[in-house]
Amino acid sequence: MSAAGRRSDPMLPQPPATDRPNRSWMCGKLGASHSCYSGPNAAGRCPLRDVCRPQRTWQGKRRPFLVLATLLAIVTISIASFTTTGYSLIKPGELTTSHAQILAGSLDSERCATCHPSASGSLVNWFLTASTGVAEQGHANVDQTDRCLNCHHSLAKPDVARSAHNVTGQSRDLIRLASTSLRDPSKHSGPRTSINQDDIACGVCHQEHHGAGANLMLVSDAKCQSCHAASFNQFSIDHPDWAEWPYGNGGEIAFNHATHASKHFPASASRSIEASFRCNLCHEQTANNEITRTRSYERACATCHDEALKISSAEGIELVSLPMLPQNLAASQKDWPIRATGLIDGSVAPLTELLSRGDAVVSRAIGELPSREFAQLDVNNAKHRAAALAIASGSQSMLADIAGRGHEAIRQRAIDAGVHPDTLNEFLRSLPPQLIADTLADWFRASVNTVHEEIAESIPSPSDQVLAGDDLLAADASTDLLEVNDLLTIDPLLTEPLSLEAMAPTTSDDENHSKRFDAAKMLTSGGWYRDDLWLSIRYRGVSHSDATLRATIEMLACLSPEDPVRVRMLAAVAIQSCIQCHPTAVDAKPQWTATALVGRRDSFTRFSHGPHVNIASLADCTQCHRVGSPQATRSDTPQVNLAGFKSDSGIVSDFEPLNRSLCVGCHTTQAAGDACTTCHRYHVQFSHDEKP
Amino acid sequence: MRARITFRNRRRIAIMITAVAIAAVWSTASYLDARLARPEIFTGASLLGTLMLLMLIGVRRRIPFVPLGNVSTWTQIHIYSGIFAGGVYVIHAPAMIAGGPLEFTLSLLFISVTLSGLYGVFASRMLPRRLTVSGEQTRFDLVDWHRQQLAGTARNLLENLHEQSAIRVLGRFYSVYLNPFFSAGPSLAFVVAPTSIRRRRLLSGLQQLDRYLETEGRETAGALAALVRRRDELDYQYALQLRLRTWVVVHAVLSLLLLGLSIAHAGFALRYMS
Repeated sequence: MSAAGRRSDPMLPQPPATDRPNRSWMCGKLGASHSCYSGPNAAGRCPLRDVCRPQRTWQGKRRPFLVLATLLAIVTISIASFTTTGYSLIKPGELTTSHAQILAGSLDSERCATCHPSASGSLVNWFLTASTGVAEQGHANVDQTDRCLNCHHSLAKPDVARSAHNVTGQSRDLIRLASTSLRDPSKHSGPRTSINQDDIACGVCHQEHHGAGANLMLVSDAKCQSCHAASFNQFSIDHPDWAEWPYGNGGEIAFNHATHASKHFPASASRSIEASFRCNLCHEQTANNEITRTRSYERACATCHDEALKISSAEGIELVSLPMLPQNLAASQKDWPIRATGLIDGSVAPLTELLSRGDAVVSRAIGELPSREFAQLDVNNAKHRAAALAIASGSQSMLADIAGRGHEAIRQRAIDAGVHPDTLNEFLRSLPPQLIADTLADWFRASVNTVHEEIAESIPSPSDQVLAGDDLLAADASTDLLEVNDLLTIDPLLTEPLSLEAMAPTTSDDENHSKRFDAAKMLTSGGWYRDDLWLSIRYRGVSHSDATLRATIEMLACLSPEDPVRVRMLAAVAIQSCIQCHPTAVDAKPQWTATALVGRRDSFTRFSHGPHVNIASLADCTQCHRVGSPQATRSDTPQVNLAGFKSDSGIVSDFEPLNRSLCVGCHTTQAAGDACTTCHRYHVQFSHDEKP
Repeated sequence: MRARITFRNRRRIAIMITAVAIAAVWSTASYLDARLARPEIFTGASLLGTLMLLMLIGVRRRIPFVPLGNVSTWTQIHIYSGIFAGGVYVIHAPAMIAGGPLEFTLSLLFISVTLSGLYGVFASRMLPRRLTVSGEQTRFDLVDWHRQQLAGTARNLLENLHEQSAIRVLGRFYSVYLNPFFSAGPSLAFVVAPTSIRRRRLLSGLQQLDRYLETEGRETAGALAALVRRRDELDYQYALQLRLRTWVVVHAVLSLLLLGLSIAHAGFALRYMS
């Protein structure tokens, strides 16, 4: 340090020449006259022992500080490792409450491995398997998604769990095709192909360890638009409008709101029936603010519709009907009733046609019958005569078969015709084979003899049993006895000539005619009966929820839509009265009741009335759901006469289209939210994707 | 003749390259995210690689004999790599302060290193300038020696006085004010935030003694005032140099810890990735 440049500055000594920068030690007597020239060595030792104590330079002080800091860090980590469990030290954040609760009782070693398969083995093993690519034995090809499915198995089936939307590629293609035809292709160019849509792990969207209160279902719009190339900045601005939602979903119960609101309810009121068209009359609000789709028939519909439904149900269905055959044809038909002899007339009952499908001759003959009407046949035409005889013979033998084998005969014939066995039970339960046997006895006296002879022949005689010899002995004796007993339950007296006499009509045909069974009086609760006037076996239905009519419709649902039996049956008044309100009853999977939309996972769109009806301005249903004018009713609407608001896809609804403008008032980023997942569901389950 | 690039242009280009690099990482991460891949692996690897690059400046400083470019260039690379790392951290980390104990510590360390780095940028520009204008540069390890010299010189000045009034007046002032000043180091408050209050107070006191002193006493008082100034400048140098050196140590220690925990974090992330 120099004193030059200042007045009165004292002269100061120059720094010592023995100073050695970048050394860890320096001389303790630095600058003194007896300081050594070389200074202390690298280890801090002075060459002049006991004369001076070397001092640390800054560099020399820094090194122990670094060592100390490193040791401190190691000690801190060690203490943390010993005082806390291993997983809690390295976990990147708290689990959500639900997951944390599940894992609360898990051991440390198992806790992480519950979701992370690679954590189940040792660190060394993990490193080895990671480097060699050979997975730990027993855990090959098990990844995190599989672990998720261990608990969330109801959300997605394992085979489609990694597929986009948990839908098979085939279904996605169909959806894509459908949406392409509905929307502007320039705005809906479909998903990007650069992503493997059959390998999307759960963790792509649902990321854990973001705190106990984190919402795992909160998925960013960007994730959706990873695949969906058409990007929407804001729901209110560029989300495509919809035309068919929500009415395009259709419904299990057909109900024309427009005509009921403007025509039927006012008319009812004029007839002093207390009824006003209010939404909540049928659509009640549940405890959790959801809206029911329908009310029961008895509470909502019966007041006005029950009488008409009783009348139409009473028309019932026909099992079999004997045709009128000309004298010459009737003569060639063995035991043909005289009552069914005359000018050719009558028709083939649809159920007869169905149950005769197993008989190729009869089935072909029915096919030759124009409109299934006998009157259309030319009796001079040999082919037509043969067809008429074949059908008559077929009807006769069908009755004999049912009388002889009971329900099993109907079941076998229906299954042969393509009806699913499960749909038959309710139908068969209502139909007593005794009725058929009695009918057969009444209409075809000689045929009854034949039937009884067949039954008698099927009963093994004691001599037959003796002849059966060892075979019978080898079989289970109890079974044989039971079989014999079963056969014995059939009245053996029927085989005796006396009984035939007893069964023979004691009255003339005219007397029977006059004593025609009055189903309206006698079958007030419905059932099968014989109509001796028309020589038919019919079923009389009762109002709503008739089990036999219902079973019959479900049987028809098994047939193809073009099947003539199905077409004719659906045209029957009793059946028509059912499917008029239950159009989905004839679907491949018959649906009779309206199912709640909330909670269903077969649609990409979801909506809950809950949060909406709490808003005062939306408490009035008509704020969103505006019933259309009946003047707009279209004539080309399917099945049900709905008021016609037809969407681009051809779906007709009796409501005015529900536009996006109704939603954008609230559904903005700042208000009710406009994220994709607010209204769209990712995890869907289509019934046709489910494996049997 | 090669045209020399100006400092301003160099900084502009460096900032631009850093911004482009951050934008590239962000774009790539967004692309990966949009393809439902794992952008965090890419950003994490980028961050770890950058941290290692940042640590290389320490290695470079320890091997000055290897021709790996000058320290100034390394410092520039270090600064802009640090800014790049900050940008990648924002892209990589789900939150500025992460949740778990390891990640929480890692976040704190990263933020601490970043803040200390930013302070370093400021300090490495401001403190040398202030050191330059505050008298002669003194080597840090010789500050104590210089203090001793100043204290000894002041004591000699007093011992060489002949004038009785000066001995009495200056002696009293020396024993009360100057001796503690010269014999002790600066206070912690001065080291943390050096001010001129102490110097002005002492110089003012010496000046006020002039009316009680004759010629010799006044000359000695002037010499003592000069020593007070020297000592104050020395302490100022010491405080600023200590600040710079402490920053380097803190920054280095935190960086080492950060790198160590980052490697551990990467290992755990890879192990529990699936």
